[in-house]
Amino acid sequence: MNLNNIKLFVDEHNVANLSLQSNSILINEEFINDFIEAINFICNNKKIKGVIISSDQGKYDYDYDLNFLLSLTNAKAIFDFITKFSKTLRKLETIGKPIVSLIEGEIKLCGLEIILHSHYRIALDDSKTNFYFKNIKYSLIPSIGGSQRLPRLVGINESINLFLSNKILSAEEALKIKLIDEIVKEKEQLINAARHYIVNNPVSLQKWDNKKIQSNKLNPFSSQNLGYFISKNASLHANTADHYPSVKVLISSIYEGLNTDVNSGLKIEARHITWLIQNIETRSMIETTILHKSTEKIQEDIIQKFKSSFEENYAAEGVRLLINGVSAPLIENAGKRLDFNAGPLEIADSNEIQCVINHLDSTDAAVASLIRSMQKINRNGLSNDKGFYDYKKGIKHNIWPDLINLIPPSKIQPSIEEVETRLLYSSINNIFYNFIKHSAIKDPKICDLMLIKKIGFPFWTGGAFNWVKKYGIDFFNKKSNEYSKVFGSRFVVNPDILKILKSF
Amino acid sequence: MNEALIFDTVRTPRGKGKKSGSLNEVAPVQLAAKVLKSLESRNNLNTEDVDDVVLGCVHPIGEQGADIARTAVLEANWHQTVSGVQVDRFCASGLEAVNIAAAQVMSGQSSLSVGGGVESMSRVPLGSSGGAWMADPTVAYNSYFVPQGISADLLATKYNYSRNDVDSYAVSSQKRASEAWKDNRFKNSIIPVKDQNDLPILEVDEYMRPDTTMQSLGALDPSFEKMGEHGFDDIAILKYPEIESIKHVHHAGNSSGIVDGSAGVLIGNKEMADKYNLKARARIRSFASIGSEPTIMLTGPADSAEKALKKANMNVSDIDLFEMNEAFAAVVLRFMEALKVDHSKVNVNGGAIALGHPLGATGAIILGTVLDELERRDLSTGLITLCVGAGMGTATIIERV
Repeated sequence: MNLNNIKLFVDEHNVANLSLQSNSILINEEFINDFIEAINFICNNKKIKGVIISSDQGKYDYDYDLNFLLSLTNAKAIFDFITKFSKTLRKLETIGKPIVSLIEGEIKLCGLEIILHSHYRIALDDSKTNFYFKNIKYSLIPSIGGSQRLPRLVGINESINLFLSNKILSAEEALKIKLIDEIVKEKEQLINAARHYIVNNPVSLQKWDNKKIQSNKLNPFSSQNLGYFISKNASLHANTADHYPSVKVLISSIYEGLNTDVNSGLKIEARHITWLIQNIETRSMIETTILHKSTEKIQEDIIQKFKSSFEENYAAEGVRLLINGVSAPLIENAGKRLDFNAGPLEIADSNEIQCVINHLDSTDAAVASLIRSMQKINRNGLSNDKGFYDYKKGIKHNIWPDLINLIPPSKIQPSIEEVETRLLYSSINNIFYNFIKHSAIKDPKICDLMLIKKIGFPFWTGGAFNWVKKYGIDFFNKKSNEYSKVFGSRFVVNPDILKILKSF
Repeated sequence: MNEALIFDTVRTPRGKGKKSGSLNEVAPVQLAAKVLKSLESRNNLNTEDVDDVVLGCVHPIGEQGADIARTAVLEANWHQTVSGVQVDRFCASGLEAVNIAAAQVMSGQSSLSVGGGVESMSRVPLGSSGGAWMADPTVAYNSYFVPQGISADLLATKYNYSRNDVDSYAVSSQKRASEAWKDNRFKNSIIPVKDQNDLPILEVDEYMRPDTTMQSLGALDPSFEKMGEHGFDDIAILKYPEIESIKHVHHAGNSSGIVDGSAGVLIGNKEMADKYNLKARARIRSFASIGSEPTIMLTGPADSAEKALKKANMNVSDIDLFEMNEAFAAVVLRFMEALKVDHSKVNVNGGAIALGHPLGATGAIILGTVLDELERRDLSTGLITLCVGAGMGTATIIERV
């Protein structure tokens, strides 16, 4: 059988050899239809004694066709697409005949998911065979069973660590954690090892489908796992605040799936990924990073100009909030919740509080006065361990306790959301101002990519342009105008920016 | 509406909730059965007249599983017609059980019921029943779950209770409990735990440390600091962003003790009082449970007390004595501050910091404690309240008759 994406032949031992063609790097509808056709052929052919899966170039460099996935906006269409592939893999996995994967070269997450459904995985132990994990935080979780099979194979903790890392595992390391079952030294040994397994295991099934193997190791409510989930939930939530939904969805999919069997687990995973693909933050992050655009062409000095202006403006907005009577912890926590690198006052300290002066206008006399009073008593910032914070040898300790005497916080404090909105709007308008001023970057998409990868602008936004577009240009313009009337002209949106946004 | 009358209150002494604790050798069902047997003999009951036994138990698994209330009824050899139900409102389960028993009587659906509770924390340890609240990632994320100790420290941070404040409170709890025992003030309710040969196993609350001082408490490290560093402090601050950092002030010496114990309260209507010639010691004026913000978790007692007061048409000043469960010192400090109640009226015989908190039983225990004390002082009204996991509070008001 020769399909565009798959070659399939049955050899003299009645073993089906299924070879994935590497011209199909992306998993899309066509790939899946070919796959289904091949699997149906195998399932309907009673003579077949086993299946060997390989990749014709030795690589499993597969990825989802993210453009295609994002083009699906209807929940049912996404769910149907995901489950169509997933069900086919499950059908093969439960056929009762031995399924073996041969692995060499690069293997990425999606390729890994394809081989995870086989009963026995054999890898060539050479320097080119590597398993590439990519932190799912900025993209999608596994969607064809990865979140169900990997924890059942390598354990809960190991699987979550792998999904949230950019680790590269060699064949030997993969064997050690039982991600694969065997390594061979020579390429020729791959096929022999596979045939050997098939001959010796005429009836084969996954360990999670084997009712004779009952393990408490994967029970989320064993005392060890319960403690693990309780503390992992907190540390992941704390690290992502209320952003980066794929992290929450990943651990949910694993936990929920392990409370049931693989069949229900696959449905649980598919429902989670369907939700995730529709999520505004996920879409923003993928859209900005998907096109393999590069920020390499942007000159380093332009990046530096954007970065220092962005940080100084952010720090200045923080000090203005302080002058407006907002409490320092609320300001700092707002910045951290937005996933800026640090709170604005901490950024002021690390750049020396003098940096704030660069961004003041005529209405900011009180800000300037506060900075000068602090400088007078040698609270210049991180460099001398005293600024808005007290430091001990460069390590942040606490907010300067006397700050509340210098600038007493108002009795009534704004909500954290109000503080976050103001910091975000101020930052976005600063970026728009520099986009027009420097004109070195013409493409707002490249600008967005630079912002999240080089500047420290919150990644979950997908960049300033993308964020405004997603949350509404008119809304952004209206709110900015309101801010400009109260807080100053830095919130006025440049008309050219509005044009760019509308054609973006 | 019928009046729910309290005829009797009994409790076991509280044993240290660890393997070396005196009650560790006693199965929880036996602790509960002893309470029932004692109620039967003290009041000369024909148990056929008892409609229901409601017992609080927070970890109803293993030997506390499969409806320990009905199991205890059978083990106590009560009449087979007596039904039993186990309830869980976390730390207020024992009081909730009393409230349910009272509600049955008030509504006319029961004539005589028992409300109480049991927990063998040495045998079925804290946390052993798991739960979606903390383990399920979606639920834990959405509710900003933190363990109770972090909530207690968050409460202390938010309301500015220093280490000195909470330790001082703990010292006074120990002093009061010690004086209460010296003065034999628990004698009316306490039933010694004995074996099948009538040999004593435990006769006094063994958790107490009467020699506790500010200095001895000062030597203890905060219990929840490490836990906080692993993300829980950050979760608390995500929910309370006005706070810069959590001050960890609670430790084993100013938090409730982990202990084993059981208690029961006999509640019935006037007909039963007449039938058995029982003296109605008090009546239930009102009770209430509330939900509150779950991350800080422990602010519920003031809200539930206010709700119960309103239902009884009473003011804070109408209450003579309060029992506010000493889950953590800061919880009581906050309760007294929120309700503007003087410490001289609250936990006058000490509380769970000194005596221990057998989760499912405590609510019923402290109801008995306050009733005994109202009688000793010849006062009239008492309010019992407990903070409850996941942000709840339960309160009950009793009045002597």
